[in-house]
Amino acid sequence: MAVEEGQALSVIVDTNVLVAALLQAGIVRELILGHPHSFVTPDACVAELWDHREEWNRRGLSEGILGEAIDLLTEYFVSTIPRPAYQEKEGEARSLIRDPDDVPVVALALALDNRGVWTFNTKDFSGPRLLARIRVLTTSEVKAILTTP
Amino acid sequence: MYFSFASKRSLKKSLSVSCILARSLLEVDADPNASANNLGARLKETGRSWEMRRGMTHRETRPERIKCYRNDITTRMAETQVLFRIERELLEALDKVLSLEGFRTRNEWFRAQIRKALGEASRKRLAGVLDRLSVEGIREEDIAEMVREWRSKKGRR
Repeated sequence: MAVEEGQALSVIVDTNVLVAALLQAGIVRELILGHPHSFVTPDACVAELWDHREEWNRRGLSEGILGEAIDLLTEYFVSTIPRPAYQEKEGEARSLIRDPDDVPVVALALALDNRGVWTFNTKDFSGPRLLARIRVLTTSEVKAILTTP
Repeated sequence: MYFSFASKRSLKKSLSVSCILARSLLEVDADPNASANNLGARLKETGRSWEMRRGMTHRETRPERIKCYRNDITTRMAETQVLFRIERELLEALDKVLSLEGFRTRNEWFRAQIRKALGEASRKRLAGVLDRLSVEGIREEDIAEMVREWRSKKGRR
């Protein structure tokens, strides 16, 4: 559809959602593959995914296959946003969330127009100050957003 | 009858369209109002450009990527002229539905069709690769725990 050209970027995904898309043959993968370019992630999450490939590569596949999977995932389905796009929000993000590894996700949520952050780690993504600034989404909420016109 | 499109994206080899590619040259976006002025569209373009170098980590490739991010919007566009035969009635029917479907020009429609075709091809390829990666019975909680664990290990190092 032509609408795709100017459509607002939608849901920000955390590293654990990217891992689920790779490992879990279920709803997470279906949602991501069924809605190309509805998802974005900071480049730091893709870097983290690659750096820890030995931990999530439970099937012992070659690096070539892991690379191909990440390539395809980030080429058409989850747009990777480089740090310059969210860097200026990192300071504010640090004041809102404790885990430094979550800072890029929060900073991206502050920097871009979006519908929320999709994460399984809702415990860390809590606190009134953070929730006043960004919306945290569960898998069922993401499904509802994407299936509602 | 013949008609032409001025598509801004280079066609990939895998796309089989019955057409003649008359010329293809790199140049800046000729229709900036269509997408390039939109931040979302710019970032989407950038996201697509991310590709991993085999044998290198993402962190190692990052400076190159950032450089690419700054330049690719203006240098990655290509102009291609496409000519193909089509029945007059079909062309008229296409023109009638273009605006109803939200396209301003045949060019926009054609570009969207290319993206759709390439996206579908990618989806099939990715589904094949993911089948090999899948771990049976793994739950969201297990994945959250796995990520938490590698982050805590990193913190201890």
